Amino acid sequence: MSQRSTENALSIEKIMLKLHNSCTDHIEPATRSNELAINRVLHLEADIADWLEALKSKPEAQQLQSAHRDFGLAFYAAMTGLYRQAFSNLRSFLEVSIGATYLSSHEFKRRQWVSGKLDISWKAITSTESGLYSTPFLQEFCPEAIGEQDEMLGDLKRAYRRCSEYIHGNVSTSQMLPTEISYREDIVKEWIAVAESALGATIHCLMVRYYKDFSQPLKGIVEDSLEDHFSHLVSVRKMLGLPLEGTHS
Amino acid sequence: MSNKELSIRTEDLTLEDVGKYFVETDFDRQTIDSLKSKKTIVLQGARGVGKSFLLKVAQKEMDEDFPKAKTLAVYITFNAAGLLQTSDPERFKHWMLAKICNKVIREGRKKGVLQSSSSVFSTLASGANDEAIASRLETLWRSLEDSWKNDTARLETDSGIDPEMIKDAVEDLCDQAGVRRVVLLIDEAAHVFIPEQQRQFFTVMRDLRSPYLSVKAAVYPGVTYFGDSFQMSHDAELINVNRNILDPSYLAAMREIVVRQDPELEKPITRNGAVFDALAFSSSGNPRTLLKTISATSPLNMNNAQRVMKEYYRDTIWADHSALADRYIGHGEVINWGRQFLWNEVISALHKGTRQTGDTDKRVFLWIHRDAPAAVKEALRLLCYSGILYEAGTWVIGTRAQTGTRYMINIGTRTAPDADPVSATNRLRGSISIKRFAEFGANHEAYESIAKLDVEKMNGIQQEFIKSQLDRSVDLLDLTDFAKRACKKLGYDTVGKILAASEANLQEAKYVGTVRSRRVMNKATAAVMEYLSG
Repeated sequence: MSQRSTENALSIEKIMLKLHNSCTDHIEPATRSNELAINRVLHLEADIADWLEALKSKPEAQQLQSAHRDFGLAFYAAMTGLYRQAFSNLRSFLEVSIGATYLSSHEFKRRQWVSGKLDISWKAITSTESGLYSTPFLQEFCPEAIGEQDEMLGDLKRAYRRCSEYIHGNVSTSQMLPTEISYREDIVKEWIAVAESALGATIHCLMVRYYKDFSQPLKGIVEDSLEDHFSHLVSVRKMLGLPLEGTHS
Repeated sequence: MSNKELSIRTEDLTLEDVGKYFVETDFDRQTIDSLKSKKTIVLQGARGVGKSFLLKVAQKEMDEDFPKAKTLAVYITFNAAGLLQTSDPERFKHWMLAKICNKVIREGRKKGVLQSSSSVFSTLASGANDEAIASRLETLWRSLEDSWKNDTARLETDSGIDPEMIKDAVEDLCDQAGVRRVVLLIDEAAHVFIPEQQRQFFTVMRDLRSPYLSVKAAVYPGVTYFGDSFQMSHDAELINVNRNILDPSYLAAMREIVVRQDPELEKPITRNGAVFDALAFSSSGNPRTLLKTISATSPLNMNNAQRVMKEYYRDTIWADHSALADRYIGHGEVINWGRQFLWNEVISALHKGTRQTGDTDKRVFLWIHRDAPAAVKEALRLLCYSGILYEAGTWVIGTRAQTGTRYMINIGTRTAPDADPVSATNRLRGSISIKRFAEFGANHEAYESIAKLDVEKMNGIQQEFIKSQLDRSVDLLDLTDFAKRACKKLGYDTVGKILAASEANLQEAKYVGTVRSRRVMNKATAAVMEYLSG
């Protein structure tokens, strides 16, 4: 290697390390100022890991695990000040997790998706005619949740839309993003809030698709997460045997 | 009228909603402060009076104060579906302790005092293994899970895992993570359990008490069995959740509860003030009943309110109470007697009196002599569970300086038989006095059919349930030494022998008259009564 190219490489390394240092400097204020909210997010993320444990023998397990790693990267990006990437990875987590969950009920399409012949269609996933929260789908997989379909679909769509706004540089969000790597409390808080609802929405989707088919030991792995995050929903109380109006006598 | 659905159960609410809908009264504040304190508390109240709501408000406040106060609130409900079906007390205890550990761990993770178990960051960091060392509590939880899940052999001997170990592990957690205290808020503490399991639960509750762990349990009156090892006066403070309907701020608070849930109801409520007041007063301080009846009275007007009051307080509330007999089979007779007593001897009698004299009988309280038969008291406790009666004072002096317990009759059930229950309720509203009550002495003729617990006539299942109690020595009953000696002298040295005798038989002992013989019989009956349903 010539002296010139060595100098050039060292210079790039220097620039990258400078950027890296900016990211490192970002970690402290980001984690310390948002400790409580971060703990809640990591608690939800650990619950997702429990669901993946319960689903590890499913054909779609690989996609779900890959999505989970996307979440890890999204979290890392958010804590290091790579905000757009943080939202982008979060959306990717949501897309792949929910996509794999939805397509698990359409094996042919799922295989086409895995082999790259079919793209995930968010429109199809959220379709009120045949999507994950459509009445026909819920009737087959989780009729208990029919009364909550609008609310839960709304939560899922909101989380996805918010991520998209950051990715596509929607004017209001792109103006918010700093041009350099620096700590912005409002954006970190926003990411954490979106992450919390994305993780919650994912657990709910996993529940409507899989919970009723689980064996008792598998139910045991995930039921704490359901009780913890969704015990205010009648569907969850019904499935977990928690108190319901009229069941006291 | 608004189309918004009112949330009738606290379980339908998120913690955020709880904060939004909370209408604080002085009593609520005192109760919430007690729930946040170090004390062991038993929060007792009928269905729908707001026990869960108060627990959730306490949880929310502790959550919000956690960064400063470092008190870790852990809300627990034992669910029926996951309930371990076992007759092995050791496995049941482990199941219960495992649930408690698990909830503490989850809450600890949420607050960052325990590290979450996910491995995603380790995976991303090129397989670097920086997983947290499991806390003592997590290790203990795993052992407990293994222990109750292993059903291959009956756990004849104690496995060595007991509440003491949980207390130590919680102390460790507090020391290491700077947590001041863990507060267990156990909702519907014993409701999903059979009576035998309830007794085990309260023993565990007593044993868990420590400077680092305080337990609060919400229970229903009448259907909760504490067992012998848990003594309320020593082991816990009892808080009865009853809203005082005579408090001048009562109606305003009830109105606020409804309007917080649905602001659009404010106008119709203001327009139909007297109708709303009648419904609020009829609910006797029970927010769930009020929300239910308001929901059914749509749109809010006089005709709908009359209809709903008749439907709910003449039929629904009594049907719910009668259905209790399906769950507490051994108590079926007591439940039916209580319903008939209250309806025939109290409510109808008060109405009859009004019709005969032409003057409204304004009594809504009844008083039962302290020496009334144990089965009568049990029947009244079960009516308290259903919210048809509310205990309103013990050791209350009646006529001839006798003492007894005062109960308030649910106002709606008191006025629903009237042709115009809304007006009847509003008439009653201004003239209630806690000093006026219908009195029932120690030997009222209405008790006759229920007074004697006849073991011989019980079915095989009931006899099986109470078998262990019949052989209990008279020495174990909460009686004076004199009474115990007198029983033994006559040969009545066990609970079974006392129950087989009559009060007249007991009076054969020197200085034992009608009062002492009744008290002995009541203690023996009460000892068995708790076990009638298992």
